[in-house]
Amino acid sequence: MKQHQFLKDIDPRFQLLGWRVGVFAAVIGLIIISLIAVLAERQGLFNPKTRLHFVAESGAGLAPGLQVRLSGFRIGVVDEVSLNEQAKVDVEILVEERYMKWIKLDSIALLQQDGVIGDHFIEISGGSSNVAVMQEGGVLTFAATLGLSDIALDLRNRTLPIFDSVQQTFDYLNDPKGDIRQTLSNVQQLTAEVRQTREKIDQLLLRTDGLLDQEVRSNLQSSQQFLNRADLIASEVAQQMPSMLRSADASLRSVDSITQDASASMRILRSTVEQSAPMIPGMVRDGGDLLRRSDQTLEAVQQIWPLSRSLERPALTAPVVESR
Amino acid sequence: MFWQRLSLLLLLALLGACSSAPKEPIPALRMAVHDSHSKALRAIQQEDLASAAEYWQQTLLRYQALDDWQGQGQARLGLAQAQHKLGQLEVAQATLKPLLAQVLFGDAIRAQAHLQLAMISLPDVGVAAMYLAESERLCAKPCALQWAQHNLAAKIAASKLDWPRVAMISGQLLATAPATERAEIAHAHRLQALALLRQQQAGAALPHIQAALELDRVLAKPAWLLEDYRLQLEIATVLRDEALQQESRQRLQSVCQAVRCDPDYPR
Repeated sequence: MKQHQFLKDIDPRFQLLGWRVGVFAAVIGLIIISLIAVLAERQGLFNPKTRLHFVAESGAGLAPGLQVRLSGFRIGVVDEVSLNEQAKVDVEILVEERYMKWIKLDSIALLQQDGVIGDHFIEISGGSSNVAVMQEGGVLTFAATLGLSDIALDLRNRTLPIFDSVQQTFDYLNDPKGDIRQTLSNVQQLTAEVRQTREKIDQLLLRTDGLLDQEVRSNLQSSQQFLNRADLIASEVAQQMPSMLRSADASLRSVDSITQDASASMRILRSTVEQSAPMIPGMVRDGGDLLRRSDQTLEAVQQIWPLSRSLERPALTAPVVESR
Repeated sequence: MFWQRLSLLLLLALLGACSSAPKEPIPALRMAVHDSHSKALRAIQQEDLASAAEYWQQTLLRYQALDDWQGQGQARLGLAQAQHKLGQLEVAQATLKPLLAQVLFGDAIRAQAHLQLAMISLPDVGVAAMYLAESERLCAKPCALQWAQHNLAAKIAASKLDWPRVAMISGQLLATAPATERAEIAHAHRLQALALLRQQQAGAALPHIQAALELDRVLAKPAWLLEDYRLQLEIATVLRDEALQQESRQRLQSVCQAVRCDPDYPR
């Protein structure tokens, strides 16, 4: 009883405790429900969705709940992944209706990954602008992308032949009987021979040097003799030169007088031409006229008997053809 | 005195009766075309081929300006002949080609054009025979070109080495051609001599080549004389007639000196 007295709700802090707890729990509950509603709204749970479908060769990386993106924006989610009768993978996706205007009949679904180790997602490429929008239950074309293992395999397939080729090249280079090794040994041999040749050339040059010395001496003696002779000739020419110059002077005077005569003749000729030049066209015209008149006169004379019989003009015909 | 005056009066009356009425003045272009045509004929006769080609070209243009198709045809024939002799075979063919199908030129001119084309294309015996056949078809009877056509047919046969046919055609021409056709008769004699020589009848060939030489001397054609002497030398060699060989060589050399050629090689 005493205990009961101690538990008696006489402390004012415990008054209406049941109500207070109830209200607190209700408020918390309301907050949690509101949060869930907001998150669901954010996740698009309340937005109307369109169901689309595609078939993949493999289900690797595909799972319900994967994001569906368009140009990097989340537009839907993978709803169901199942194996069909042809051992292929049927994938159902839900796309929010407001984004359906960008998904065309020729749009393609791609399995992508965020970074190297990130989550997988389905990327849908926007189709051509002139193609119709895909409707509920439409079938997308799926294009699988290369995973890391695929890339590694491809890289291996490409690089292995290169390594093989490099290996063969090294084998070829290292082959003692191969061209390269043979060439190197030939070059070594050639170098040794070049060295020997150089020694021989050095000896030859030394001998040539001696020979040249002798030759140059004899040439110098010949040159000295030649110069002596040239000196004699020059003195002879010096003696003859005055008379030659006198003759040349006389010749030059003659040439000068001839030039003066020619110049005078040219002046006369020029003045004659200048005087007669204006008359030449007239003379040519008169000549032509005279020829025409002569022709006419000849024609008239040819008409008069008995000249018309003996002065017949040749007929204007084609030239006679000769078979030869 | 009276008789003198009377005879003078009679002479004046006679001259007056013989003289014709004054002629109409000739238009300048007509006179020019007559002038260039005459000069072209004279130049080609004198073997002045470059001048002849120039005059024929002038004449052709003037006849074209006068719309005289007969004259144009004659000028084209003359121009082509000059070009052929100058060795411009393709140009000559191009000059003649417009004459082949155009009926405005008249059959006589077209016949001569076909004949000239046959001569130009002679190394090709097929084409030459085709043009010759067309020339024979177009030429009205009696055909002024028939003797040249006969000799050309013989030349075509000679190109085919058909010597009996050459002898037959040239023999036929020699039997029927009038004496005025000296050039063609001389050619026929030469062809006859060649055909007989090729048929191992050098003795029979000799009189023919000598007849050809005689005519070619009258015609004053050095190129033809050279051809004849070369053939005569060949005949004399076959006949082993040393004197005739010697004479032929000397004459050949003499003519060759004048026209600047190699006596051993035909031009």
